[in-house]
Amino acid sequence: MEPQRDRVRSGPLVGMRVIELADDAVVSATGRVLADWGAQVDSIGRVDDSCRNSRADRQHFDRGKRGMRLDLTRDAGRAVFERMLCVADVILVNPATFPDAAEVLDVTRTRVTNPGLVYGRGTPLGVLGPRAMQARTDSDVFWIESGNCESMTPEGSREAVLMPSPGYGLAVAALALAGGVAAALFSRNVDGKGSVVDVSLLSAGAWAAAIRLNLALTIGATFGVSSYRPSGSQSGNPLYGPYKTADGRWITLTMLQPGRHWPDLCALMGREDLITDRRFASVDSLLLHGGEAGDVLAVEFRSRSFAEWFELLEKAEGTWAPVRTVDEVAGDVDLRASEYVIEIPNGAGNSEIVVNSPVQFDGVAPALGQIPDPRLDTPLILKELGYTEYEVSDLRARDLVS
Amino acid sequence: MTQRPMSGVRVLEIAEMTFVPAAAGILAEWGADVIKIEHPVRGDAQRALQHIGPHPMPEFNIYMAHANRGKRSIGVDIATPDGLEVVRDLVRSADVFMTNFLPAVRQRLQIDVEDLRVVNPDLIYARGSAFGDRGPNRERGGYDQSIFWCMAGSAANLMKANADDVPPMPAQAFGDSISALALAAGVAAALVGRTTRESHEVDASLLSVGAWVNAVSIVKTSRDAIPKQSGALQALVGNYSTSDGRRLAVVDVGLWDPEDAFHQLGINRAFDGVQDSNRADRDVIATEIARRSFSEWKVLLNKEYGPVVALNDALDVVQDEQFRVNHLLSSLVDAKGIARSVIPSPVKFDETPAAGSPPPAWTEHTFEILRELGRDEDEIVKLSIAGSVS
Repeated sequence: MEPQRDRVRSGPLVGMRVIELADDAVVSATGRVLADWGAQVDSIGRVDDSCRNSRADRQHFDRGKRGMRLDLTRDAGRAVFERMLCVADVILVNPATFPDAAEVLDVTRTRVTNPGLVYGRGTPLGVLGPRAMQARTDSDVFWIESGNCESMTPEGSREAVLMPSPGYGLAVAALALAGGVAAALFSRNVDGKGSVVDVSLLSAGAWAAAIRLNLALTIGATFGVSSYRPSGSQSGNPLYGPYKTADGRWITLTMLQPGRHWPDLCALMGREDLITDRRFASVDSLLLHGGEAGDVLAVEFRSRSFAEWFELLEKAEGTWAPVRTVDEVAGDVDLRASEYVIEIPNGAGNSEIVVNSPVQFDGVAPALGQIPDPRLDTPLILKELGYTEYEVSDLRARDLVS
Repeated sequence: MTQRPMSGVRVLEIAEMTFVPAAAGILAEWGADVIKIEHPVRGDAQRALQHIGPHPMPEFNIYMAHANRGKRSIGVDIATPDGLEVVRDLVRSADVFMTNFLPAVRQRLQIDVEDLRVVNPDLIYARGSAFGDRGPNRERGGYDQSIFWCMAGSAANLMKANADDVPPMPAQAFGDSISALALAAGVAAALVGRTTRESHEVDASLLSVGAWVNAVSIVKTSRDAIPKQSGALQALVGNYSTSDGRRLAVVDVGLWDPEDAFHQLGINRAFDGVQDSNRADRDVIATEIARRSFSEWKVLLNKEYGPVVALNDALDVVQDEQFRVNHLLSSLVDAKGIARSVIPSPVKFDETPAAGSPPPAWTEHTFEILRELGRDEDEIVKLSIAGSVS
């Protein structure tokens, strides 16, 4: 399963040509999604390309693209870029990161040479307003500025609760921008006109937090930390929330119909007495005594191992899930069966994990993509644009591309 | 593009709760004509929700408004032959069908992909599920709190060893809303590919999206560990109170040094980095932060970014200037004539603010849609009396 540089692509965007100016992480993550969906994505970095993400980020978000380094500070470099724009369907860019390309990228200018070009703009904080040009991270904007951190950090707690994984907010913003670009391509295929599509880490973070923000907008007030049940309250659904097993693992119950699921679970645990217990006998009473029911359940959970609970809950009517580490996620049977997660040999006798973007078409996973290699990819890209062997050598000799 | 990009696209939705309805809702905001087919007696289960987590639901149903703006609602009993015929009629005129029903239920109700493909060979069939459509758990349901958040690694990534609790999602429907983006995006892509190739079935699951957002830490599990920061900043990490009792935090994300924190806070003093002085450095920061109010700090921190961040709460977010200037709010008038603001989908087209529409009342458009299908008044009355529509 060796990745192919000239692989056969599959997916709905086969035939689409995407250029990304790779200095922005949202842009780069979006390029990965579009590449998974079949588009040819060419990632342009600076000739001096020292400020990129960590290796793991790059391996993940750049997979399936071709890479090219181009000197956009010089006219001859910008001329190459302009030629690429003429035949592209999509340009992905954060306008703040490539000031040298601003003139070439000007929409009124490209509309003349390529009226159908779709501009996907990925930014930290949007393109308008006093902070539009700031280079902020997803941890900063998607997580903290959008309120997702505050809602997880209880009053009096020493540390802020940070974003669950590096790249978390990028991954969300990438789905939004890839979707917006696809919608704009669909529309362009109808009327021939390209459009400008904007997504920011702020808009993506707000969308993820929308229920909380909409509630604040509606009642004009804020409220406490996110919780499974009213904090400090003795009422609520005991079948919604986490429980610890005898061996220190956690299982989260999400059984939203306690009237149905409480008797079912009690019977499975061999605690029929709890079904008829006066405190828990009706739905209203169970919810009223949710705290007590939760305490009883917590004791039950601590009396059986994780494996025992797995076996028992397999027979339950309501839904639940184990709390799992990312190592366990990497081996998940459903993710593996659906090829959202695959394992490939990495040449050194070991294997590595590849996570594919989360949408599939016709039940087919994307073909495994290569890691961009500008040395190999640049001549390919230039020849497709019509540059001769001699011209390619000349551009390289002048350090315009590499 | 002169109108919204999904103009002219018709989407049918047979789904409940947030994930798939919000995906269809995004497409509605992007211009699609979305018809929500609801249960003829109880409607989408979200209509009956009394709480948002621990908070009582306001009169304006927040969940419905989040996931269903700009749709039309028709009440159909799809388990009856006449009701199914109405669905099949709608499928003939539709481009996209979206559902979160489990495979066995789809088959029993004859709304699975094979059933509808016979009626409309070009139909894009989009499934939002808990575990995906190709694995051993395809017949199982689940929620974002359990599958997206706990099972796909987010919760554990936030837990220390021997934690005495499992953190919940930062907001209700957090995983559903993110997964909705994936499914809506997939449908838009499938519409691009529809004319030239087979891209007629679209799948996204709470598990696949939950893994995608954690991908950088998942791929790292098989290779290098997550690189450790320099550590110098660690001594200052923590939450600090402003003069009005709100919080700023020093966080060790990115490549910041302790000096950056001092600089950001305008502290004219070198950080000496000696272990014994950590306590003193923390005190210097605490004293400085306590000198100003949260809103004063926000103005300063918006100019000088670094390891010190303001812990925005929900009201701070929606009142922020950057937020407002970039049109991240959408206005609408609800069924009672009251003006409301909501968070629109995170995508802007041609810098045009999202047009705000309210969610439909339950079965609000049943007669209108049946008339569009060419059913006359007699037929409509008969269907209603029989309970096939409502």
